[in-house]
Amino acid sequence: MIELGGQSVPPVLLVLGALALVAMAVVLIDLHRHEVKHLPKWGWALIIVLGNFPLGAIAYFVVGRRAAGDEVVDGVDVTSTQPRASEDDIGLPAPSPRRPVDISDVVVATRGLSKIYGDTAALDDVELVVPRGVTYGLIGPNGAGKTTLLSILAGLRRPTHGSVEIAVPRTSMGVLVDTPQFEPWLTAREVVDLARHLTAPELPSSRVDDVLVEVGLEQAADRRVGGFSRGMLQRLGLAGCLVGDPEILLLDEPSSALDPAGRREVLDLVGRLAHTKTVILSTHILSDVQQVADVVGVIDHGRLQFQGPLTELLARTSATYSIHVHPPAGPVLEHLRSCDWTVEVVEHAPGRIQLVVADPPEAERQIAAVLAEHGARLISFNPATDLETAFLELTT
Amino acid sequence: MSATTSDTVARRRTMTLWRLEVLRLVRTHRWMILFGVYTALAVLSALTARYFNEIMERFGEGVEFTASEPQPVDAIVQYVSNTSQIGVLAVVVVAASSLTIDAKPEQAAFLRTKVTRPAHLLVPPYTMTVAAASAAMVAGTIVVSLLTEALIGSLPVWRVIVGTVLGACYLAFAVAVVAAVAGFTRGQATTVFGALGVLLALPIIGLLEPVQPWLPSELLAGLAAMVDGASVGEFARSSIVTAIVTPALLAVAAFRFERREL
Repeated sequence: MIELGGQSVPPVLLVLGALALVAMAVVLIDLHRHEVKHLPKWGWALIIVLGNFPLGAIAYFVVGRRAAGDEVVDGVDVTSTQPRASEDDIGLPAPSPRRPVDISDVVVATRGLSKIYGDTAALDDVELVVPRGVTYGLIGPNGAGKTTLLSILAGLRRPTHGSVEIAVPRTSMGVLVDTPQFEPWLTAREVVDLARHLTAPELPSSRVDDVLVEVGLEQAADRRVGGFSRGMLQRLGLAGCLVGDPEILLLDEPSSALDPAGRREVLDLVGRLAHTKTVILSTHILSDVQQVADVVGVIDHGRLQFQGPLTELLARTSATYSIHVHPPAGPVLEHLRSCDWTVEVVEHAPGRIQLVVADPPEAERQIAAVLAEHGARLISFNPATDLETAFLELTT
Repeated sequence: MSATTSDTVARRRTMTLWRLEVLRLVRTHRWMILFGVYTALAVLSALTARYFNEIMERFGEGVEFTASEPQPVDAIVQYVSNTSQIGVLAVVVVAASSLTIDAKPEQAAFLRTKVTRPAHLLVPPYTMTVAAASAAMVAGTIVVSLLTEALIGSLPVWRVIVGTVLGACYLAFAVAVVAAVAGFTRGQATTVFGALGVLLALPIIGLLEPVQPWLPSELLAGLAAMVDGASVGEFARSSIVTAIVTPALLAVAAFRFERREL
């Protein structure tokens, strides 16, 4: 007998008790590592702990534990796969209205991705395909499901159905939420250094300073974050994303609340990242997408309404250009009207010409020659092809 | 880069999750809450025990008051009684402020997206809070012991040490309760009230005599009991339960934290 707190306890009881506790811990670890049926994991944990061990554990193994290879109904499979996903193993998006993009090397793909909150589908059967090295603009009205989709890609939320395949480790993804916040008592340098330590500790600490310079925060590096403006926080968030040299950047509305100068800076930064990193950028500001994106996905009411190159989306509407020359523009207007590739030429203000063309590539080749022939002094030439029109066509 | 700049870069301390917690304690002055409460209660307890008779005589005019001479154990009992309420409240508040990582989703997203297992984020705040709370309790115990020694009489040192260790074990349990509650609630206030609810329920459960020796809350009174002559064995059952329940609570916290969506 062993004296324990003034009471006599048989040694065998102590040994059995200890064994039971160890066994219970092993079962709970097993529960943590396996999928379960019929009840959520916490429910099985309660049964194992409270359900009169070992009866609760036996019930879990017999009824609750999902064996490998079991069919997963309504299953969720969020994986981060090291090998590159290829065209063979990632399904193309369904035909129209979704358009397949040219996939030779895909880094992010979703299959039948849905997220349901109560009776509302925030995402509905989304088949996202993001090729490596592109800037993917995810556009949609407020509440369309952009943030939900990015949150699932970032691992911050789980899909209700479907799967996500990402060809890089999670730590190789930089994630910027729409309103980044940090501990106000940290300095900017400390925030970025923490991000570096967590994502790429092998990189030298000088990398922190380099990134702060890159986002224009070198002067504020040793200031506490609590006094930062919204734009500075956005840039600090970007620095935190970039410091680990990620392969994929997920940017949720990175410029939505910034002033014009701040927006310009962020878009310039995204533009500089083009083709060195894969950027997935969500926004409801169409001009941002037009400036930086190669590929666009239009999402509305949780459904991906279009996915493909930006040019393809723009080609869905009449190709329109805006030409601004020093007035008078009469001779140029006459010449343009006589071209067989023009559909409509309107001077809506002195020197400001709206040009609708039938053949955009031909127009882009010829316009410079037309202007030069008449000695027109060009101020600007912009594609005014109406992304907004294309967007509204898809979302209304 | 110039040599000076290189030197500066080399001298900078790497920002880790551990350093983040140290800075949280220092820059938000939370360490002062812990150390302030424990040392203030220590001073108050020793003085109250020493001058209790005088205080009662001064404020109880016209009332006959008879009391025995103050004993060293009185100061410790007073200290334990005070810290078991206000001290634990301070620990719970400080613990909740660092363990409710998801209270601000934007801040949580920054950290969660940079680690392979979100549960790893819980280890530094838990450990640092327990360390700071234990250090504050040790500081308070040293202060009350020294004052008691000076004002009333000596205390058995090894009994004070054992009692302090038992108290530190209880604080580790209390912070684990906060972590587990934070797994079910997001906000700091709800976590504080939830954890206090659990911790206050234990002494009530302890009213059931057969259960009492097994409860972790027994450790809280360990210092006073040890100084009063109790044996270490009296705390064996509550120590074993605390040693089992504390990791279990942390496992619950980690499980809930991993499963939570932002």
